[in-house]
Formats: sequence, C-alpha cells, structure tokens
Amino acid sequence: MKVLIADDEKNIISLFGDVLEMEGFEVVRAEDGEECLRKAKESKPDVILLDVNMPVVDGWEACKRLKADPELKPIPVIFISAQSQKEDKEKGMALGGHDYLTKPVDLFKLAQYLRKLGGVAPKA
Amino acid sequence: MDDSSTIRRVLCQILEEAGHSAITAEDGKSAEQRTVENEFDIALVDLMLPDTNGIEVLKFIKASKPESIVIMLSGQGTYEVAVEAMNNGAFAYLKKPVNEDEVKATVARALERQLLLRENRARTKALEKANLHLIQANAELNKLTMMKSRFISIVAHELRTPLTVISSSSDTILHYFAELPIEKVKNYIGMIQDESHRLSRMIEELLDLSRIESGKVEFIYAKTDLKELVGGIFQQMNVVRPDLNMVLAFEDGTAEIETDRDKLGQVLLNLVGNALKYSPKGGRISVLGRADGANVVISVEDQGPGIPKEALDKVFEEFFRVQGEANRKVSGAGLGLTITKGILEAMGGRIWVESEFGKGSAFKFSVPRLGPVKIPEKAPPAQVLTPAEATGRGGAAKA
Repeated sequence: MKVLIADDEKNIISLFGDVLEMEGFEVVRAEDGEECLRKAKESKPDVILLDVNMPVVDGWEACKRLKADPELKPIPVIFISAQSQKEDKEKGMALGGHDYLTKPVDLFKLAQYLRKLGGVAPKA
Repeated sequence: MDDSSTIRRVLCQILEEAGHSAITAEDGKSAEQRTVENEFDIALVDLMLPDTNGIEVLKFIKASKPESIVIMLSGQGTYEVAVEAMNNGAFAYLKKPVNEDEVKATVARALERQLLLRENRARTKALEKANLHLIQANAELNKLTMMKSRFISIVAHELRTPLTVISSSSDTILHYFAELPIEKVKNYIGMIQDESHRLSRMIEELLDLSRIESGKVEFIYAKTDLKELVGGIFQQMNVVRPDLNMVLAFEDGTAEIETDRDKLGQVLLNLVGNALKYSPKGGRISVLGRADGANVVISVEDQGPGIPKEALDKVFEEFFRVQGEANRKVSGAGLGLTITKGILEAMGGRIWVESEFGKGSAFKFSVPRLGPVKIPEKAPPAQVLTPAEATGRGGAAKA
C-alpha cells in the first residue's frame, strides 16, 4: 500500500515516513502542497496524509485541487494537522477530506487505521 | 405674574424676606416676554390675567423653560381649575388672598424639588456618558478577547508541532527498540533534543512577550556604548558564521547613548541573529547608526532573500513567518520580532523594515538618545483609556 505524506516539518516527515515504512507501507514524501500535487500525479498513492499549514500551497488548497482532478479525486485524503479547532475539522471534511486527525498522532494506530482503510492484512 | 399691583408688591415683599429676588409681570403678554428674557427658578402665575388665561401662561413657561417650577394663584379656586393647572405641569395651587407662611413654604418646597430635578438630570447625563464609555470599553474588551483566543489557538498549534516530533520519536524508539539500528536511535534522540529546545525557547519567548504586553518590564537606564554592544554581538555571531562579513558604522557621537543596555542588547541580538540566519554564504551584515533629532536610528542590514511586499507589514505579528523555499531551513518560533517591537515601543522608540524581495532586508529602529521619554508635568485631561493604552505604555511610564 502506497502512502503520500505531505508536511513542511522535516522531522515529522522523517518520523512518519520511517515508521510507516517499517510497518510495511511504501512511502512518498512531499514538503509542501505543490510537491504533494505533483507527487500524487506521478506516484498514484492509495492514500494521502496532508498537513494543513504548509508553504507555497497549503493543505486546504492542495485538497481542493486533488478533489478537482478526476484522476486523483478517488484517493482518500486524511488531514493531519496541529490545528484542532472544530471549524478546521469541518472545513477539512467540507473540502472532501476522508478524515481529520490532530497532531500528535499515535503512528502505530495510524498504521492500523491505514491498513483497514486499504483492506490490507495486519502486519504479521 | 399678577394684574394687581398690590398683590405683586406683597408677593415681592414675602419673597425678598425669604431671601429670593423677584421680577414681575402684569399681563399675559409681558409674562411671556419676561419668561423669554429672564432666567428664573420659580414662577407664580395668577389664573386670571387681563389679556389671557393663566393656564396659557403656564403652558408657555413649561414649553420654553421646562426646568422652571410654576405655582398658580387664584381668587376663585374651583376644583376643576386646580386639576387643569396640575395636569399642565403646575407644581402647586395657592388661593388668594395669599398667606405669607403658605407662600414661603410652597416656594421652599418648589426650590427643593427643582434642586432634586437638576441633580437627577445631571446624574442621568453622567450615567449616559458613563454608559457610553462602558459600551466602548466592552467592545474593546470583546475585541481583545477574540484576539486572545486567536492567539491561544496559534500557540497551541505552535506547541503541538515539536510535541508531535517528541512523542512520535520516543514512541518509535520504544516500539522498535530491538530492531532499530543504533544510528537511527541516535537520530531520533537528536530530534527529541532539538524539539525540546524549540519548546523551551518558545515558552521563554511567550513569557517575555506577556511581560512586555502587561507593562511589567522595568527599564534601567545607563550610559551605553552601542559600538561596543554591537561589537560583542558580532563576536558571538562570528563563532557560528565565520564566513560572514560584519560591518559596524556609527555617525560621530551617535554611539554613546543613555539606554537600558540589556534590553537594547536583546533587540540588537535578535535583529543581528535574524540577519545571520537569512544571510547567504560570505554575505555582509551591516549595523549602521545615525542621528535623528533626539533619537538614534539604527539599521541592521543583510543580503538575504528579502521579504515579499505583502509580508512587510506582518513580520512584527506574533508567530508570523515568511513562507517559502528560502525560509524553510530557518528555525524560529516567530515571536522574536514581536518581542523586539514591544521592547522598543516601551522605551519610546519604534521599528520598521525596508526590504526588496531577493535583495536583502534592512530592519531599522529609532530609540531616544537621552534615556526615557519624559512624562509631561501636567496631567492630561481625564479620559477613558482603552485597555491597550492602559497597558501598552506602562513600562515607559514606570521608568
């Protein structure tokens, strides 16, 4: 299962990527919204983990563009943000997000969640 | 007001005896004229005037001088007439021939009533004014509350980011303890350290900011040599970035000022530190001083990426960071410039920035050369301070 992670915090990308790889996922990394859109088109991930506060193109805008592209539209977008306000969650869902998680997230629970989402058997 | 000169004379005598002064009118026409021409507290009006009815005079007085009190006089006292007079705003109704004590007592009561009315009116006015101030203050407070809650949600966001790295790194180390190569473990522990430092720096900055905003910072003024102060900062910076070319130039006589050495040092360290963070390899940082009236203007210039036009007025806001490729490698909580601005304003100075995107930035500030700005001897006229005014200048006023 292929996961695209977009976050502008290098440490976060590195950690989330490491853990998901060790949990058996193929990981693609992007450091801003624009890179996320480009890599989504190139690598056709099964799911996109999207930060909200990012330079160049932020998470909201990236999600809008993903959902406007017929080819990318079906890929579930899961927002992972440090913004925890109710309005932010509602905005994420209204933009077509599949879910909205608040940082910090438990990476092992996240791995389980992604497996379930992709219909992948749990790690042996 | 009475058509009988005898009655006018008797009444004047009674009133003057009681310590009042009186003017008279003998018919409706002159009554109206006197009403318009004179200031008076009480009118005694005969019900039967040669050219008009006393009730008409009563109405005229009440319309043109609403605060005056009217006492009616009449020889042919019927119940209906008394009621009509009272309904039109008369205070009392006296029967003729007048009784001296009754006149005095009624006039005294009338004056007392008028005093109460005036006090009441003055109080109502004061209350309305106070109420208006309260409404304004309330609106100001609501605005501040909204700003505060926005600020708190930004702080929460900023604190959560390092926290996420700390908690995820430690989770990962614990979870894969047996299988992780030692290099990875070292890497994760390094991340935990970095982010812990970032958190404690952020907490320090938040506390600094809150002290400045509540005016609790004390300033200690002393003779300070700015060249020496900047020189010391350059030395520190040279250890971190020996590649940079640091230039220091002050106009004659502008480097010696009376200021709070530590606070101004914090300002300069922040600005030079920022310049360093954004400087390309081998770049130049200049600190230039010139006189500007009673102030010295200091400019801290770098050859970094510069600030886009749309971000220029936002760089002093809390947590604002210029977005973009050039800024990605630079760490910071985004409070340094807000604190710097707060310190300078509390010292009676100000800060601004000039920058051309792609060509570097110049952060300039002015600060008084001769210590704190003197507070004027005479207190300014009383006025309601907005909370921002009440807190914003506390530091300067204290010093």
